[in-house]
Amino acid sequence: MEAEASPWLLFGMSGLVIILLTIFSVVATWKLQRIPESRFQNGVEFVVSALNNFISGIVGPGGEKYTPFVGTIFVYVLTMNLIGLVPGLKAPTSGLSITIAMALVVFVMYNFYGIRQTGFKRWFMHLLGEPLWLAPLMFPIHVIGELARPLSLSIRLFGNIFGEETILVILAGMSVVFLRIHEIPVLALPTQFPMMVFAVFTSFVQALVFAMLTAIYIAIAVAGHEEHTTHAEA
Amino acid sequence: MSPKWAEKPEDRAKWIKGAGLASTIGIALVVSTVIGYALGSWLDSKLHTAPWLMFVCSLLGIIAGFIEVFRIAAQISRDE
Repeated sequence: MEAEASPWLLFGMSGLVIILLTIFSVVATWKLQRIPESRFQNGVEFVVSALNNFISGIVGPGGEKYTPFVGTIFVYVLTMNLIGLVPGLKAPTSGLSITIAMALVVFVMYNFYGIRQTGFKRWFMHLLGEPLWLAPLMFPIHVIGELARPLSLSIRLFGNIFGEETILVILAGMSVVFLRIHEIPVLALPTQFPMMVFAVFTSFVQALVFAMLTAIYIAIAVAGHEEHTTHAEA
Repeated sequence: MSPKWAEKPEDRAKWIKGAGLASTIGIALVVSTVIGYALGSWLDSKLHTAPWLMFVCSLLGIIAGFIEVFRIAAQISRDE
């Protein structure tokens, strides 16, 4: 595996994830029952209600309307992270192009939610800052601060997943080299296995962090008024 | 016994939110500075004013990073 994967491979993998998730959601909602008897529907409903509670816990009351967006982000990122652990496949999130695209989607959406909730004027006034005569100084500072959010989101996800995959490759290669040096007639040993188990955990954590920060940014954007008071305190 | 923050679901959500926000502090400081530097260098190459806008924008980026840290800290303490 090369260190720098072609972006088309990542786009292909991401498309594969989208197809898998589409099939999964079609199957999951095929024959919905009011009182679910199948374990499958029960399990999916459990996941959806857990996501619902998680997001409305962060955004506050009325946060359920953001569950479709943030929940999709979570499931999509989680599947993209985990698919890299299947031998022969590569995690799309181990490339910057995919993570930057996702962070931009999040950036546009939370600003859209903010403008829809508080109005364009208040959103723009927030960018200008509190005492209006300081606006020429505060405007570029706020713009830089706003741009830092999608960049830090994308770099965090990319760095963690890329590092995880690189460690897996190095560990897998190490066993081969070790066996050749000592002339042991075994092709390879699964030395990367413990790291793969840990990678399942980190994949989950990174997807959770990405979704959580999305929810936090939405929460901050839709509560534009409170943000102003925070500025005065800070 | 579960820790104090995990007793009630609302507390847990608050704690997770605070931890998530706190985890962004370190990277926010660095990324803001880098964005300021990149913006300044790009403007310098367009306007042929090297290296002045790079200095000014880097400084603005550093200030933006610190303000972002203050904002995050204020947000966390307000949620508690």
